[in-house]
Amino acid sequence: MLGLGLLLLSVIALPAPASAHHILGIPHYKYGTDYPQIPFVEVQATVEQYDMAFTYFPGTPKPGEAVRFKLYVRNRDDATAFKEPLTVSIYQKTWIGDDKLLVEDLPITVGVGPEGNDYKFFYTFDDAEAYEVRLNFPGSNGPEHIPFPVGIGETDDRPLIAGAILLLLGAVVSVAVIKRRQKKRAKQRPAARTRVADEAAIDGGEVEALGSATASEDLESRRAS
Amino acid sequence: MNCECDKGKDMTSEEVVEAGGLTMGHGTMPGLPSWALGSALALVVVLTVLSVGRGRRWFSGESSGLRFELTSIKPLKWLVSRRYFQFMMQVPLVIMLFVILYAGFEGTPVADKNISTVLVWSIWWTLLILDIVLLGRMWCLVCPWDALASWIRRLSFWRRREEEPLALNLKWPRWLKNVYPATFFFVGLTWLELGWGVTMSPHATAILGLCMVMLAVVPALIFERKSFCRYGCLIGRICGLYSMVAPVEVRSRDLDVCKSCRTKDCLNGNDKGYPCPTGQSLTTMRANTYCTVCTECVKSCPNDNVAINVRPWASDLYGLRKPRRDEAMLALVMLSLTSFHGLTMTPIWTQLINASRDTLGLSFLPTFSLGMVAILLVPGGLYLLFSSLSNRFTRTAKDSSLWRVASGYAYPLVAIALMYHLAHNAGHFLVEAGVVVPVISDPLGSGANIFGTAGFSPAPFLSQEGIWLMQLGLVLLGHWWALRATEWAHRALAKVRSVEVLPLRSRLVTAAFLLMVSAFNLWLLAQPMEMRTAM
Repeated sequence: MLGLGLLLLSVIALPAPASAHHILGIPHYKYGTDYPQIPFVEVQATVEQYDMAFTYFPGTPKPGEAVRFKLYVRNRDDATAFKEPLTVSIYQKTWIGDDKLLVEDLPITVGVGPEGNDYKFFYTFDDAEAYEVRLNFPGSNGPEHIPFPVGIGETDDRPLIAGAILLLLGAVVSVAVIKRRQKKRAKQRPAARTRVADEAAIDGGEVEALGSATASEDLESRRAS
Repeated sequence: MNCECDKGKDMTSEEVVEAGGLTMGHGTMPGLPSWALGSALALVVVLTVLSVGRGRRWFSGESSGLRFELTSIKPLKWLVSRRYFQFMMQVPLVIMLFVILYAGFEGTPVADKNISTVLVWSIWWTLLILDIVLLGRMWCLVCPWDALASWIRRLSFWRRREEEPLALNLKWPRWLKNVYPATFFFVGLTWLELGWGVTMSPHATAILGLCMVMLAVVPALIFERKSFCRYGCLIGRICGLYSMVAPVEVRSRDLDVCKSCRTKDCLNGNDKGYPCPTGQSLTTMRANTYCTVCTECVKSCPNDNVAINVRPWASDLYGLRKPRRDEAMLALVMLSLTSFHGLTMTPIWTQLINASRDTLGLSFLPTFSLGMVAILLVPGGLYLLFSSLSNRFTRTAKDSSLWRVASGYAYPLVAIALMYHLAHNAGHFLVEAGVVVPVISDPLGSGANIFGTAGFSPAPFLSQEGIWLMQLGLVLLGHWWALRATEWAHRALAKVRSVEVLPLRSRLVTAAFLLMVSAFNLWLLAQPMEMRTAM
């Protein structure tokens, strides 16, 4: 047994190197509304040794409104900005199936002067939908596609909330009505039983023979006959 | 297309990054180092070998019977016996539910800036598991959805009404009298969480919360007792199965008193307490699975024979008498999905999904869904394979049912699933939960600073080494409990099949499966994990 254990140990415990791969972090968001700056959304991601900050203005863009995008990529190892030309593709998100491609491989470059470390571009979205700007970034193991979500327009939740409340109210009212009817019927049953007993007494029949469960049925059949 | 490069001179995002935006450790959390993984695997192997070999006596698989009655503490007993006890516990949670719904619908769409996503996915979803390990089914006691359902159904906050005015009390359909509905909802929630990304959307989180309100209230109006809690509630059923490991239980103080009781007020209710919402009688209740700790039986028992006890962990697993197929299925699904949860946060999963997308030509969601189905089927299939081997080695002319073997050995897996779940979640919680501090000050992400902590930058609660050690300890503990529970299952099977001791090869098969599962979970913990605001 011990031998078997040691054999298993030697096979399993030889640790496969659990070294870190380059990881694309799930983007993290930041929404700023500090006056006097216009609201913005910042999405952060990490690819290999590069930290990325993807920002768009305004923070809650409307359909038909030009959205300004900025991207800053920094090499964590030497704290320098990444400045090589890049491309982005813009997709409209769909619930099921492939996302709809709106713009493919749009070239973006860094600016000049004090803003020279930021990539900047504009885009106007026509519909209030969820979109994704995918950055095509040259990773060491081939191109990486980093998705940055963009939400356009605000959803109106009033119909949803009203629908839920109505459904609940509907359920409550329906149950209340059914319970009321049940109670009414339950009240009628003893009265029916009494009437059956009376009729049986008049006929000289055996009341007990009817049984309480069949009393109302019997009354119905008597009435029918 | 309206697209152009901008040469403007306004703010730089460089400043944001330099100011620490990206220095909070966003991205990944390192996995267990090789030495830790190797040591833990060695310990798991040693424990497993001991459990089938000469060290079997240490895995006797019997409950110690040690108990401390919490309700012997008079103030606690007094409090629990009050009719308003549950109401008092539920009110804060109901308020929180409404805050979450409001913030989800009206607050910022940014997940880590909105209190709804932070509270639900980063705090509650993690603490729920910790709550089970420390306190058992306490969530059901304070459940806000059940609170709303009960209040509406009874038209009373705590007063005992002779009749519940808004309850049709129809029978729950016979074909649904199992935990398959809850299993279905659990799989659905996992798909929404990991595939659809509900954790990253405050809006979707609020919609989910609202759906849960409907799911709790509507069946409560239609069906008898709390049938939805009993059969359909995914949270209740997960908590139920996990709480077999929990150290808290509601039980009869003296079983003989219960046996001689003719009225069974715990089950049927009386003027002091409502009938048990899940149809439990203390005379026959041997496990926590369906007890919601509503404390109605404490109030209604005319013999003052109901106790809330603290007991050794995993006690229910060591005394299981009647394994059920549906519960066994849920245990397997829980085992698969907890590991799946961890797997989806590793780079390997991302690579696998990307490769599958390229091969199949599908978008993310269908590919993810296929992957999820595969992950559900593979452990289930392997388990059936191991069970059928075990069955082949143990079957007798009297009994050769595969399902008996498969059901009986599934319960120990609950301990492994629970402790891995806790190890995984605790890792994230200890690193990320601090995000709740700024969010409390600015719950809607609208720039408010109610308590002056909106600018707080959270640091991990525990060092990385501390987290690793804790994770290792939890996985090992789960494995130990599973081995002990398996020993109980061996004895139960031997009894059914009228043999003295099960053959060694049968024990080896079940031990090998447990070893495989724990080894896989340890390997998962050794992978770098992608962090997310909402876990």
